[in-house]
Amino acid sequence: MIDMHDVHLRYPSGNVVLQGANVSIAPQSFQYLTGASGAGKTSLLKLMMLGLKPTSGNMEVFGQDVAHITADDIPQIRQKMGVVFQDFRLLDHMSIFDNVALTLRVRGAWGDGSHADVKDLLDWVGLGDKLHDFPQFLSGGEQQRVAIARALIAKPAILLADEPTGNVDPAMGRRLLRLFVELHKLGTAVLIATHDTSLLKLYPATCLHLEHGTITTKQVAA
Amino acid sequence: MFAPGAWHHYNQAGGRVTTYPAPARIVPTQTLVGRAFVFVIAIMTFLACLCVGISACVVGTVNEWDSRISRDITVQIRPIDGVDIENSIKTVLELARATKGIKNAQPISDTAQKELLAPWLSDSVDVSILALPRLVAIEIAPKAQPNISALSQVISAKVQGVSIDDHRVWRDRLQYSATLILGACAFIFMLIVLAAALTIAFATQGTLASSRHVVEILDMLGAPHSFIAGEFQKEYFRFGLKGAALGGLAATAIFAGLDIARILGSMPDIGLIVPITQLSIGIWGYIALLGAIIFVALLTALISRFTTLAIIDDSHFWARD
Repeated sequence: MIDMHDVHLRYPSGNVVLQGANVSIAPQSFQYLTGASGAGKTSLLKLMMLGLKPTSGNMEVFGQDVAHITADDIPQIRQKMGVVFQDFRLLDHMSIFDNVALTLRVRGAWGDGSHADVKDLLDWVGLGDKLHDFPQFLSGGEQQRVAIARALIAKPAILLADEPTGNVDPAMGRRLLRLFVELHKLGTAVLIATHDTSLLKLYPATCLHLEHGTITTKQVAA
Repeated sequence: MFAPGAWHHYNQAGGRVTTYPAPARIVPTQTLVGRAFVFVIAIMTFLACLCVGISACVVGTVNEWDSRISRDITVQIRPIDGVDIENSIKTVLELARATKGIKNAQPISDTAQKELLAPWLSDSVDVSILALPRLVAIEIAPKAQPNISALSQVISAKVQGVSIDDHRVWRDRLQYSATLILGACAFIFMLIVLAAALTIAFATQGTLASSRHVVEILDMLGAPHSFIAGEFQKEYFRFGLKGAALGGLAATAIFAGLDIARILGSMPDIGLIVPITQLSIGIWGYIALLGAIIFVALLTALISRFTTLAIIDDSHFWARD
């Protein structure tokens, strides 16, 4: 699904994020991405969602070599992904219902049953009574859940989540993790970037640890 | 904050009815230039429609004059010593009436001739003492195309001191003047369209700059650039249509006012070469005005679409290196 071989990433400022990283995200896999704050977890996720171009190395996303991908190919690839941003990136002028529905609208997947799907998902993340509320009137945790619902509504092949439990209480964090696990069981590959090691114990899985630009893989035991 | 519009309500029979609000606008309203833009488009459409309407008036008037005078031929017979001018008139009339396609040929009476000269001669001058040429008016039958040059040759051969005027010089000048006016109108129209296009492009740039975060989110969610451009196009088409309708209707009101005044005969003759009450854009003129309104609205939509596409394509990081 996503394969990186000897990938380097250096920002124009000279800051080196990745030095020969090797990562493989297989279909239907469940993995964590850990690392200290500032280690480059967000940059790695951006790279995977084609928000950045690797400086060097080989990288394939959904079987397409990134070196040969054009700007016109990117939307099609991103439509197979669900992304949860650390800073939520919700649109303040739209209700939370519309924010979640936006994913379906931009992908041309808005149909008869979409209203009910959006409502059900928002119900599930505990926001069923706030469909018409606007993001700026929600707490950080609630905004986080809207962002997750927006990433999941289109049933992506892969979910890339950047600190998805960072702004929610432990109970909601566990609930969201269960949601990701359920999603994984339905066949979606999940990669969760987190610094919260307690999550790893709740649902053990492969862990990609990013440190000093290199990635090490380890299996977390229960 | 609860937006109006419930998800469920009950009808009079007690049945549960589910209603859904319309999808929200993707481009934030506060980033759109709004009312000022509508006003600018209205002014430009008004000016463009004036150009179109004036062109329609010119075409209509010139065609009417041309069709009127192109069916008339004037034969002028100068008095020559020793030549009976009445006999010459009779010959001209006979030759004209015998020609196929000539509907009528009549000598212009002394009274009518005096009236023609009245603007140049005072009433006190006795026209009968002047050695004035006599005139014969020949009227061509509608849709007929008689051989005028052959008729001219025959008349010239048989009648002395005759000259035949088919108004070609006047008609050529009329066509030339009309072409000049139409050319000027077309040039002004193109300038207005250019100014409108630039205004729309600048307005779209402004909206894009203040909606940058929206474009980024749409991009991250996998929106094709055509989808993003379509959203901006939709908003600007609304504004364009509103502005074009306002400006176009204002211009239409002016031309409709002229038509009403013409029908009622309530407009005074203010001394123009063409009495203002004779100006009418006609049904095709009104259709052209409608076309101008639709053109401006579509132009607004297209310019905003292409501006959006150009900006997001150029600024996309993937295209930069």
